[in-house]
Amino acid sequence: MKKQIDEVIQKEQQVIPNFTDALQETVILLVTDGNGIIKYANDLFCEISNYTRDELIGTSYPIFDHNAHSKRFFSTVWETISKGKTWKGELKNQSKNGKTYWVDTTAVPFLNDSGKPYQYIFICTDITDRKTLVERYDLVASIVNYSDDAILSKSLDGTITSWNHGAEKMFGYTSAEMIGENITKLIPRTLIQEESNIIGKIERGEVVDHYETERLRKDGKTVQVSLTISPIKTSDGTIIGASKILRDFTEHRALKDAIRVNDQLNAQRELREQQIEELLIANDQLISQNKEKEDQLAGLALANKKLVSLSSEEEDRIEALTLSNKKLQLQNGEKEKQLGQLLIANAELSSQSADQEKRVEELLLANKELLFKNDETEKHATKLSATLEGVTFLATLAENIQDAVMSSDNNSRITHWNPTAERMLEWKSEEVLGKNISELLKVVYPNITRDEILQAFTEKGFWQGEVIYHTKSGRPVNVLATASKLKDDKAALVGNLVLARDITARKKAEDDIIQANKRFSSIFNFSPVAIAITSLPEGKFIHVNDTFCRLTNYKRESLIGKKSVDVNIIGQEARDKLINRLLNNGGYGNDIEETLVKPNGEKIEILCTAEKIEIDNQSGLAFALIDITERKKAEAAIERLNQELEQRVKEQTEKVLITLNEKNTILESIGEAFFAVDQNWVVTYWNRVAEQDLDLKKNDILGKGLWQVFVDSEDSISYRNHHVVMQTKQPMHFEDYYPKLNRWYEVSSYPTNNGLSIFFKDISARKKAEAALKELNATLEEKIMKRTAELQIANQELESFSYSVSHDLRAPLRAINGYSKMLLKDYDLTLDDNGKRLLNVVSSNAKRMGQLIDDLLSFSRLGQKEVQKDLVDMEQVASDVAEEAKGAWPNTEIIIKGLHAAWGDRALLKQVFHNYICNGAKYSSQGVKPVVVITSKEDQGEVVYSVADNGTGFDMNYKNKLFQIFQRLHSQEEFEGTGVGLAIVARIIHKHGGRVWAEGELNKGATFYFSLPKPKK
Amino acid sequence: MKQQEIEILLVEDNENDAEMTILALKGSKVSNQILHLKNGVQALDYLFSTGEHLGRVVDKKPKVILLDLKMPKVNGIEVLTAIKSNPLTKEISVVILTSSKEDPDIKTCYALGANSYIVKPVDFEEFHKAVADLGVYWLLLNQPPV
Repeated sequence: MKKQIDEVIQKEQQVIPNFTDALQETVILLVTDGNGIIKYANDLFCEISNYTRDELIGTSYPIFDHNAHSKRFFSTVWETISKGKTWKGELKNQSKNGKTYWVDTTAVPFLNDSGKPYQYIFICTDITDRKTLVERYDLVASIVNYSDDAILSKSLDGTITSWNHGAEKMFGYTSAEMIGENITKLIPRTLIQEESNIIGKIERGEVVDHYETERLRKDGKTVQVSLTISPIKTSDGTIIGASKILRDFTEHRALKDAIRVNDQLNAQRELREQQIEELLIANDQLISQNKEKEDQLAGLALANKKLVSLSSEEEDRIEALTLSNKKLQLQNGEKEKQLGQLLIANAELSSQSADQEKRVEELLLANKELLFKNDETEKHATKLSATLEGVTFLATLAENIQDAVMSSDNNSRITHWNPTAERMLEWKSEEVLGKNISELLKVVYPNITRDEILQAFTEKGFWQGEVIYHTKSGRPVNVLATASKLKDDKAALVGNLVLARDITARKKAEDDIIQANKRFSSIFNFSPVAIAITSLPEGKFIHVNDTFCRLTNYKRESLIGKKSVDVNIIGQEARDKLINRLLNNGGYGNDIEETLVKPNGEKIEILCTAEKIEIDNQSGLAFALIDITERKKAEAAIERLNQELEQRVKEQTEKVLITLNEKNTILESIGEAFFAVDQNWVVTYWNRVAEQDLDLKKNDILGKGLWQVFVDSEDSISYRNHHVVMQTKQPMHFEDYYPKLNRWYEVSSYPTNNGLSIFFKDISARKKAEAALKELNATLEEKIMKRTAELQIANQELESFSYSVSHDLRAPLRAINGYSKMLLKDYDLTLDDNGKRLLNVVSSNAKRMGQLIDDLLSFSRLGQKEVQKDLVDMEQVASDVAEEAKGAWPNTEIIIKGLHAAWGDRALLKQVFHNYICNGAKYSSQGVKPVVVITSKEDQGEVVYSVADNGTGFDMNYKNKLFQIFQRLHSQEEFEGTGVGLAIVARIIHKHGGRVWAEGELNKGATFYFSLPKPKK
Repeated sequence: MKQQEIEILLVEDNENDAEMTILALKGSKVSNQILHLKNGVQALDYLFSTGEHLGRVVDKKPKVILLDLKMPKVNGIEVLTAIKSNPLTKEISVVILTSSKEDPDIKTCYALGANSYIVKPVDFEEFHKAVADLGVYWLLLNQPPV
């Protein structure tokens, strides 16, 4: 160690005094003792820490901010240096005024004989700018990466070079899948031409703005996007690619949806108007057509229901619309928030750039000052060398410094070449010492000519700037070079000293950041969201993006630096209100709707998100806003339409209600109970009579399910029949019993368009009467049956009686007659004439007795005989009888005058004619010219037949006796007869439902009538 | 008597009617053997060789039976039913003698298989003629199926 130092001392002997000066200008130095108490701090440290040297000396000002690094980091640093090892790294610290700074630090411990550090030297360079830029870059990158908009970049050949989170979400591809792929992978085949058009535009440096198109997702679906593409340029303006911002089109679609919904609503409104009109027509018909009132009323009720349901549908739709708007707003809010953050980052980036410039200026100023303070510094350096253990310190410093230290003599021969220079430029110290530096080292000056440098160097004795060195192997290295003159003790110029710092990494970082800035400023500018940043509290515009300008129609230059109220883009009152609201809400606002004024006075509605930000060391507000004028208009239009519609619905409903009320009055005042149900059995109407008849108040059933209320009727006739009507749409009429009320109802169930109309009547009283009647009938029938049975028994008894009588009576008569005849035959010779006459009397009486019995039997049989009716040709029947009668009464003329046919039993009717005609012939037989005339005529639904003779006639006083059995008006001697014939006629005719009567006068003939019901055709 | 074959069987409880019937048959020169039985029981005993006619040769069947309906014990309908339901006797012709043509039993008799009926006329001549015609018809003209 000692030997090394000695070597260094020897080598550096000449340059040391002035070397310090050069170091002072570029390196931050801090020296502490073994306990960390500051013993020395150079001007640059004072500047960066913002403390005076006096404030620092003797304190233990921390070399880095403990809060910014982990405890482990802290202990690693101290462990390293307390063991006597050099530590290198980047440290973060805070200045007195709270400003954060970063320093690239080399900490060198100085060990005493016992190996313990007694002193530390910290050699630092300020890397705050780089660090901040990198931090900013990271921040912005993360913002870009997590934006909901898909943001990606591609080279001119279409290769994708970046792919953010939003793109992953939108397309379904991860960044790993897409980086390196060609952009055409996202373009539908039919649109592939688009890409070459886009590339053409990009190559010409044009921006593709809000281009609406389709892109393909990984899952093969297409997504509607709004595309904004801007070229990426290098610092020299070469276009190397493009950045794309893709926004999901949903937002626009939502607006279109809203308009479509509006159209639908319109259409529905028209439909409804039409329906209402139909309804009114139906109403008119209702009034005129009482017959169909039930069905139509039900239809009306149905239509009314429909109206109500339509209204509710509409409400639903509006609600959906509001919901989608809300969703939209929310999405916008999020996006705006992100963009706001982006904006803030950008703003801060810009401010950082400004800071940087400022700092360069300050640095230049400081350098100038340093130049002026040269003498003072010299003194200071002398002091320093005295205070410190000069040689050792400086040698250590030279060896450990992060900058390449190179010096040359007046002949440009290299005199010093430190290890950093060796590492940076690849030449070993021994290779270069003594060689001409300008021949050895190729230097490129990117921003300045060599002559300018020389001029500055000659004038100021000092120059600092960025140059590019080419290393031994020809690799370019970006360096910040500080060149100064080397003077000896007598201030004689002995050569030049160059301190060069590798800034390649910083340059790259800066370039990256510039690229990023460009990219993000294009995002900022071409973002579909308008962005503006204003200062607080005065409200001057600091930044506005293109979208904002386009949205408001203001040119950027007419806004920047001006107060928003002065430009009159927003009113004073509105702005105050907005600012107050934001500040009261912690500097953040979401979903703010505001009205802005364009230069021509036109107003636009915007929706914005605002956030308080710090920009260029002052407070500001970042606004992200979108134009919702159209949406507002659409909303207002929808609102207006809805109001109109509501008004119309209200009016029509009122009209309908009035009509309905009239109908209701009818329905209420009709005597029949009435109710109506819809197709879900919900009761929609229930009139007053229904309330009475079913003992159920309207309010207890309206709107309820019929079978929920009449749970006990689920097995009833009504339940089954109503269901049948509902299904078949055919009306039914039936009766049903409701046990709960012990009532009977007569029910008429009519199908309607939307359910049933049901009329019913309480028929319990009628039913009761019917039941009573039925019971009565039943008992009556029973009685009749009993009586009939009794009668039948009696008849049977009578029949068997008359049978036995006739049978038993005839046997003795036969014997009397037979034996008389045998007597007359066998004893003809012994009997005298009188004896024969007496025997004849016995015989004839027996014969007459037999006749009587026969007539009586046939009369009684008639009672039981069933009448077998048929159409009877009465003319024919009468002719047959007349033929027979002629045999008995050849002198009597019988005239038949075209008789009507009859409906009856032919045999019985023949008997009737027989009895009448024979009677006529018999009673007229004693006259000079007996005539019997038979006629018929129609009279009031019956046919009257008559048999008239010109015989003895009869006294009308006895006409009632004519048809009674065994009643005779003449003696047996006058006219033979048993008195049964007319009784038989009466019985037969009565059995046919006809009448018998007779007219006559003594000795002037008689007319006997019978009537029969007119035969049915 | 026993050797002669009975050709007409008269079943009649009324002695007078029976006498007049037999007289009428004889008067019309029907010379066939007539057996008068006084009631239904006797008729069945005779026909099926039971009771007082036990041992009679069943194969000797009358050609015609004149059957009165109203008889004590077993009446004419019951006798007719027995005759017509037995294969031995059902081929024998049965003529119903009745007091009146209005007699409801006539229908029943035809249904049971009676071959004819005659109303016993109170008028002797008529009665005589009817029975005589009947006898001639059934005994001389009508050939029963073998």
